[in-house]
Amino acid sequence: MKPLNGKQEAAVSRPSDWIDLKTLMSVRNLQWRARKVVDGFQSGLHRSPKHGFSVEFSEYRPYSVGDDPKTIDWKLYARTDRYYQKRFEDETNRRCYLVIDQSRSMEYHSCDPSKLEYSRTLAATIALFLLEQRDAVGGVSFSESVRELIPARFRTGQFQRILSMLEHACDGKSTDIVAPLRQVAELVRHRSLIVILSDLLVDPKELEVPLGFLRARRHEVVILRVLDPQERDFRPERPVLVREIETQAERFVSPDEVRATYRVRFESHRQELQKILAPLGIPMLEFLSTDPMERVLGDFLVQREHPRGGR
Amino acid sequence: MSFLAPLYALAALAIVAPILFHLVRKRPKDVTEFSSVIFLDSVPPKFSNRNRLEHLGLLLLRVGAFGLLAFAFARPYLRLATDTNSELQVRSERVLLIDTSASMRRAGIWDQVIEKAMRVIDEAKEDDLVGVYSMQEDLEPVLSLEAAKDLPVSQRRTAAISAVQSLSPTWGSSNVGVVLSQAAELFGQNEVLGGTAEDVSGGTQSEGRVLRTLYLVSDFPRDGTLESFRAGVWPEDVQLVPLVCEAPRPGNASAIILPVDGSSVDESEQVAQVDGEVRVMLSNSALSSIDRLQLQWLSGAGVPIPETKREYFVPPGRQQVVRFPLPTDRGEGVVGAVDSRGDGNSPVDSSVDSSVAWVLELSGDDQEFDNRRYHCVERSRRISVGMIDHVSDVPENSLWYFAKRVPLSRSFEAVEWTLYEPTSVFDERVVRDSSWWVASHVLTLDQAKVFTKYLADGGHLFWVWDKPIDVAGDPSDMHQEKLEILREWFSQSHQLGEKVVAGGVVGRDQGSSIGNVRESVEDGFALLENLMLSHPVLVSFADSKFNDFSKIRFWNHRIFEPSASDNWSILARFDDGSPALLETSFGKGRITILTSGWQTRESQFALSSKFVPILSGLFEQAVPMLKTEERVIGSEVDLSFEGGIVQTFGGEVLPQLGTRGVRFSEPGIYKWRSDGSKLVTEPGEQIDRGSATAGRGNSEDQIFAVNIDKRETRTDPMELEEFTRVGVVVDLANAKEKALVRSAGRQRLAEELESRQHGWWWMIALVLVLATVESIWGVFRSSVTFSAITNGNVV
Repeated sequence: MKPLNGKQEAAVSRPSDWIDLKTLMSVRNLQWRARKVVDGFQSGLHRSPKHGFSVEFSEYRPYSVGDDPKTIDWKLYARTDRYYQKRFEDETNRRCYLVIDQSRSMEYHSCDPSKLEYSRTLAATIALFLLEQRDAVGGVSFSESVRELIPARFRTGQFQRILSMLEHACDGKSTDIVAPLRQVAELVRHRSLIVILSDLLVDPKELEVPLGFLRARRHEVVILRVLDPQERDFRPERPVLVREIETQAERFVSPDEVRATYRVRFESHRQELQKILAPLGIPMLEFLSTDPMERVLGDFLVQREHPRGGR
Repeated sequence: MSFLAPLYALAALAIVAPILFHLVRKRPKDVTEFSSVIFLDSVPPKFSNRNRLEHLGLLLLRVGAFGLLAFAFARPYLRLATDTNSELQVRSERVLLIDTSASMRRAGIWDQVIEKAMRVIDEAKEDDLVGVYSMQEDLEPVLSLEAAKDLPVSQRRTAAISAVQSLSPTWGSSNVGVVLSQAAELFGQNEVLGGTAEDVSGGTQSEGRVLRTLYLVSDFPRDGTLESFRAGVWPEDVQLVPLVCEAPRPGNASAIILPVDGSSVDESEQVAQVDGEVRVMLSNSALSSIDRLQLQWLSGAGVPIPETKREYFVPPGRQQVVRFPLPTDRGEGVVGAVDSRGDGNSPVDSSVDSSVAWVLELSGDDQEFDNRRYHCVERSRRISVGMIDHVSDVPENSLWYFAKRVPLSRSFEAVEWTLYEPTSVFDERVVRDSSWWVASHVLTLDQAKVFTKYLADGGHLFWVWDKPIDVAGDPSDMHQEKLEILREWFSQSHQLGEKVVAGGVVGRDQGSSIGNVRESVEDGFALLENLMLSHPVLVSFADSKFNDFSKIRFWNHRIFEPSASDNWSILARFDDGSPALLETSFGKGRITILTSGWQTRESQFALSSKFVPILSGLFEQAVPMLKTEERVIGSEVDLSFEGGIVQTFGGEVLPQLGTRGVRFSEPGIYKWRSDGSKLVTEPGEQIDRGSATAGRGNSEDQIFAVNIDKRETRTDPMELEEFTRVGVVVDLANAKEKALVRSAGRQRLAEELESRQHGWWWMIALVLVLATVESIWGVFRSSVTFSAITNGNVV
């Protein structure tokens, strides 16, 4: 992944060019949505990804028997009379896995779109953006376990495969983020960027161990936490029976009680998450499902440009 | 306010249900789905007073509907002053129907009968009518309701008590179905008897009601007799209160000797059955506690025969048919010595015993009343039929040739024909040895004189006026002799007077006309016509398929013009109008005359299919067939001549009975002597001569067994609900309780009041009104709530 230049950073913070989220989400085609976001994002950079993209030199290395002779820099041989291999910076050595939570809780929505739909579009957008930068992109979908895993590749049709995975219906009944992350840690052996898209409405302590595994494997981990506006500030208007989508657990709540406690507990939960993620060097970007997609992509890229606490 | 079924009022507790439902309804109907509840605490719903007040009306409606429904089922009624007055006017008719059948002899039962009956009497009011009846096969009044009504009020109770105390269990059988039918008729008759209270109490003239209750005191065995009432109609205003008497030891077993087929007349076969074995059906009650039963023969005198004892395994509730050998020593079983000729001087001769009797004893079960079965093996008796005829060289020309070939023998009765020539010695003793006489034209005046006494005592004579073979032309002399004989008989009957002539024969003055007899001189043949097909002799031809007599041609016949005063019945006439077959009663006996012969030179009668039935019919008329079915207590044993005429040949006249036979009241082995002078049980007990009958034409004694009805051995109790099934209004609640007899009357009074006030009707109507209002209110409320929600007015 290439770092953002100054123009790109400026574009990220230019809301007037952003596509209206409602308009975007009204189109059913996920590929079109991702393409539209990426195109719109890149057009703000005044640079077309389709032109002037070159291979950048990395280093010279003395030739040794067994190396491919075609990599010998003959011009340097003419100058120095020594065999040197010319090494270029590998464009696809960065692997990225988009780990997307497809449990039933992600289907919740107090307004359109749902968290799941938003996450799908966001994942597709990131995948397309990275693929166009010649990065290898893979995908993992999970609910109570890993449902599907597409190894990170840069090749023709990879984007379609990722889209296919994302478009699978959500059928999970519960979220067990611990086991899927353990599985991801076992399955992804090469050092990769792991981007987790989830609402993380679980006990923060459960996350510590599996995320620690990922970091121990030298993976870079970024968490994109997608929330519904109601989840951040739940305010029922009358006494109501609340039923959890996944477990069907019921709580009878009164508005006053919720008003007094929900926000506090949510903040407390978020702080606990931060406390666990910070030592692991894992950044968490939190968005609402109503936020513009370009802003999320921009924040993500900015965060990649200025990682905090990465190893 | 009182309740007819107060327990139903407990259903009013159901009003808790709508209250609970109203609480439950406070739960929010809106359910909001949320992604996670980890930030939420569950708090119990809080209700505001405002909500309660809002639904209070509906709640009251619902509670009211439930409460009223419960009270309606409890069937309330008010004891108003007017009703109380009418209660005073109500009197009750109590009929105590006490089962006195053999099964009530079981230990401990009769004490319960007396106790229950006394309680019913004790709890009757002074002016109540209490009738006492006993129940066996029929309803027998001990103190009838009519008799109780005629008694002074102060004596009714005493009379009822003494009536109950006069009863004791018998050996008879009971038939609940028949008795209930008779009881229903009894109440029907009595409805006219005492419809108002005024009739009984003698008070002021006022309309009163009569509570009719039938208290049936019995052990209620499951004998299936109740089924016979199924077609009956039970009066609706009469309630049956079954008072059940239960034996302390409910089990019982019985041994029934299955009947031997007596259709064969072969004496050797009968003897083989006597020497062989009998089939015994062993039944063990389902309530029995034992499963091993012992059978043993006793002699007729009650002496056990130990070597015959055997044990059988019969589980409770099962039946089993076993072959039980008869004692090998026949002499043990013979009841007494039989005087074969009835003159008291004959030596004992077992070879002519008509019957051999033993007692089968069952042991090992709980109840002893039905453990003895009396068994009498009857063998074929000989019945002698005498015939006076002259047998010539050509036998076909005689009556005897054809008559002796007619099969008159019947079950257990072998018929022997005896021929007497005109020259035979003939006296009264010879005449009496035969049960039936047939005479041809050879009957002489001297012989006829001997028959006079025989006929007057009940003998039958069939006199055939065939034509003498050796008389050519008009045998007028022979015919005149016939008239002489008739004149002799009827003059004798006149001399005997009313003492003998009780059967309706009209005596006549000596010398008056007896009629005319002459030979028919018509050429060709005569046919029979004008047959009296209703007569017992000819009744078998009553069907049109069998009454064609046109094929019987009579070549010769006599024309007899009898005197109208002699009461001749013409059973058949010839086609010239002269009588062919005619009869008249003579004292207790009967004379039948055929004015032609049946030999081939006289007619085709003997060759026709009508000959055997007519001759058998005449024989049956003379010697009625003795019924051989099992004789049981209570059933009538037919030992009589037809018409219930009771008279012996010994010259002694017994009183006439209205029935054809004798009823026995105790099981045992009985010996009936043919002269009618004795009817004794062994050993030596003589039963009431007033009910003894006479009748057989021969002089052999008869031994027979009388047992209790096998229905009585089935003592398993029936389900009392069966009374309801056959349509009897029954009060099952009082069936077994001791203290509820009194309340039966009160309960019925309460039912009367309740049915008159119809309180539950009004309550049900009110419930329907409440339910309707509640429904309308509920629909209105829900529609208002819905519109408020859709308009966003509800927070």
